[in-house]
Amino acid sequence: MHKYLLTFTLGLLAACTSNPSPNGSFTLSASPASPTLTQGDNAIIAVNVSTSGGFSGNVNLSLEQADGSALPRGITPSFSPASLSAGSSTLSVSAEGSLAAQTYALRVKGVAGSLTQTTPLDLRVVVPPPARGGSLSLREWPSGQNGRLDLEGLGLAGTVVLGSATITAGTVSYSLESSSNSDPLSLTPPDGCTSTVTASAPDAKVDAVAQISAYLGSATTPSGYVQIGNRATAGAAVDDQEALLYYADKAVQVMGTETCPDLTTIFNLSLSTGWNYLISRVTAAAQGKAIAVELTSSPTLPPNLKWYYRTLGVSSLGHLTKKLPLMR
Amino acid sequence: MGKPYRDFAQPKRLIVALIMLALLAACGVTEQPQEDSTYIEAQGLDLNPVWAVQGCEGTPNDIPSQRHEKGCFGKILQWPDGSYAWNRPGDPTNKAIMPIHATLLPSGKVLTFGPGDSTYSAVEDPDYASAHNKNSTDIWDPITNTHTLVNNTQTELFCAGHAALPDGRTFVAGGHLGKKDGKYLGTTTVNLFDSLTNTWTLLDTPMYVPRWYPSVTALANGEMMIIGGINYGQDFDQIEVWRVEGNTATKRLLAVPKLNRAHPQYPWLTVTSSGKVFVSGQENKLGYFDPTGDGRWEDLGGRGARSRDGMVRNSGTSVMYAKDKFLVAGGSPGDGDTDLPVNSAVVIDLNQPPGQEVRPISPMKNPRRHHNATILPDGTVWVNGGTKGPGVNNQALENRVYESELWNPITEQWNPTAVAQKFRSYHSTSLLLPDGRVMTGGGGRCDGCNPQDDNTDVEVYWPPYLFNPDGSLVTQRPEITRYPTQVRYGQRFSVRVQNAGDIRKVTWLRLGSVTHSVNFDQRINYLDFSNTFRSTGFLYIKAPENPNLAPPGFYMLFLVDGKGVPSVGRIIQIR
Repeated sequence: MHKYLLTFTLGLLAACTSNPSPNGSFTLSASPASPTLTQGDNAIIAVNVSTSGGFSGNVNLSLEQADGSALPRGITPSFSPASLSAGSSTLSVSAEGSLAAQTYALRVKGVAGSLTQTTPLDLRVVVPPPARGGSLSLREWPSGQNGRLDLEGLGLAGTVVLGSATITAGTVSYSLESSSNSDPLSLTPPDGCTSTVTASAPDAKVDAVAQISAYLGSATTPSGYVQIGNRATAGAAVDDQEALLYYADKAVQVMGTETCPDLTTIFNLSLSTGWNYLISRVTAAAQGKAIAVELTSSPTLPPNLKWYYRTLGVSSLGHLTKKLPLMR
Repeated sequence: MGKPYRDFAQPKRLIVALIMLALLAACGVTEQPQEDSTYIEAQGLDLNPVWAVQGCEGTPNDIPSQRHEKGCFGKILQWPDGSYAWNRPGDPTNKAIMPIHATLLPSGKVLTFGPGDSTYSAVEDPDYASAHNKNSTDIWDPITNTHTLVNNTQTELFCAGHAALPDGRTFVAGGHLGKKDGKYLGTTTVNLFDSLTNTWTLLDTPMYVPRWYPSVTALANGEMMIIGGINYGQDFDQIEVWRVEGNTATKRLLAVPKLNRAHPQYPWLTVTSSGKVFVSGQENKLGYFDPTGDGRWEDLGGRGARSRDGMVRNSGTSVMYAKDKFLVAGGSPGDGDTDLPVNSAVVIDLNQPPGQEVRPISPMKNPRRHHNATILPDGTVWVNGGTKGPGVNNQALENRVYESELWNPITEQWNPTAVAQKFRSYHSTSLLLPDGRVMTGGGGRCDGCNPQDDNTDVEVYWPPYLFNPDGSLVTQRPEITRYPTQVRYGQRFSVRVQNAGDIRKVTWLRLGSVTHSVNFDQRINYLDFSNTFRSTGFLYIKAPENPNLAPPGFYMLFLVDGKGVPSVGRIIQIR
């Protein structure tokens, strides 16, 4: 008997210590309350705990379906912090790539002792934008050669092939996957620069194919790289135009001017959802470097721009070269 | 520090690879395409924790208000003891490694070594091969200040020559085989250090002649040229060229001898834009050596052997600070008691018409010999150490040069910089680190050197560009946060950048390999770059066009902003 009594008493003490009976109450809110995310991506939601009447307890947060049942398989929440007395917690919700595209009626639940509050969260899961593809004439590709292009995204970790292209005698057919690894659009100017740049959808995520490497079929023939522009030169001169493939996960306009000591950039972008051509035009140059550029966008390749192939020499070292790990 | 790879990228990559293989098969392509560049992510380096351990705070000559103009020398960092390091006859307990040889490795760490197991044996051991076959070497991490000892148990490496192979391994020619009849002996050994495995490998193939104090030059075609060195008081005319594949070496002896066209000990040799090797000293002779075929000496401009500036510059320095442009500074006209080191300096510009290549410039603030000259990421050349007294290594207190100085290649003027704590002269080394600092180490332990001046330590020089006017560390450095690990000659490649609000230069410096005031691998390229997409977070950069401009191997890529602040150098292999 004594043993059970002791256990019961300790249990009460533990309950009282961790969950003191709160005075007052609390409410929850989520922002955005109806987030949209792409399959395979994650969304960030701010969950706010507001207190009233001298509430002093800890609120334990969780995510569940609106009817109180467990989350569907493929939705994974993470609160930081998961327990708080008041203020804001960051909820990260990830959707597996296989999760069905639909709107999920969910709710954030907060429990403090005997008090339970909820706030609705409608999670809209959408399929990624369709791949963009096309067929282009590749300038200066070696006659009769077949090969491939690797389109590498600069925002991604490691070598990630965003798309592929096969080349037959100068014609490149390409398709690009939608980029689920995109980074948030960053509008913060570098140190020493000023900016008036704004975005119509600041939460848009973007990515870029900043490296297009070309490989011919034979290891003994030169490989090279591709430059998209009105001419393929190293130095910058006024009216030089160059393009890169740029991805946005939603339609967004980016407008304004970033002014740095050595370069002024005018943003005049209307990005469509999916892949776009981002085009830079040099408006002023000095000593082979652009000092002012304008950035525009186009869903298709403007007629005055071409894909140029640039041959590199065959390495005389070949197999001599082995890969070594690099510093941090 | 590195940002971990995202796991979900892997299956995606695999799927795409399979699709591509299928497409290639459909196209009838059977051979494998060439190896891709691999991009790597990295975050900016916070030097504050490094400063706490290695910084200048509290060091005797540090003046915080002058750091942004003169830089400063950091705390003395003691080098570890090695099983096979021995610094003083009669003192078997003095086992600290002295960084007389220093090489920056592709890992960003530094290989150092000094005297070996019995370099200074007082007894002339007739069994030289077994008595002189061990050397402790050290791998230093300049960020964590941690050491890893790796013993070479086949060669005493002291006073070898070394440069980097195209694959990043350090090629070390020759070494020390003790003393016979009062004369020092060299070895015929070639050792390789692999920073991937931290191992030494002695190649089966010996050099044609034993060499102590040879120079090694990494050639544009990936071969290594070995020249100079002495043995038993004898100078050698043989020039040999090696090619190393894996651990197999092939060598050829060039029909054309060295003769007196190059100094017997650590001559100054640099591959120029023609692919020929330019000899800028230490002798008062200038000329090219074409290492192809049988080899061939060529005079400058076809006017016969050319005097450089009327004087030999023993233990001076020469650096190629821009394409085919050299700074030669200091040195002694001889080794005698009346031969005073000079402060004079000349620029050699091989782009100029014959007869106009050499031009005197402003002298250094201090006469020096045994000093080191180090090209910094912004293209300036920093000189430190040495003695201004006559003779080989004058150690009189009044002759010690503690003040360093910085040369600006645009103004061609010298400015005094920070004052070191230690006398680093004969047997000292300076080496640019990827983070933009300079390791200065060693000095001492020579015939006639005072025991108290044996510097088995390092003090790191923190250049002015790392500081704000109030002496605090610059926090906003341009950063390269994504870059390829490998590029091809002439390749236009992209890097992702941060804090890159004002990029004025992109520089490319070969990983250094230095001893006895000679850095065999030091060179710099200024790379073309396109900034038109910089506001979206990256730059396009063009790799050097050909291997004459940058022999194959590993280089540090730096971005330099309008204030002269460089990024951390990212190590990239070119092939």
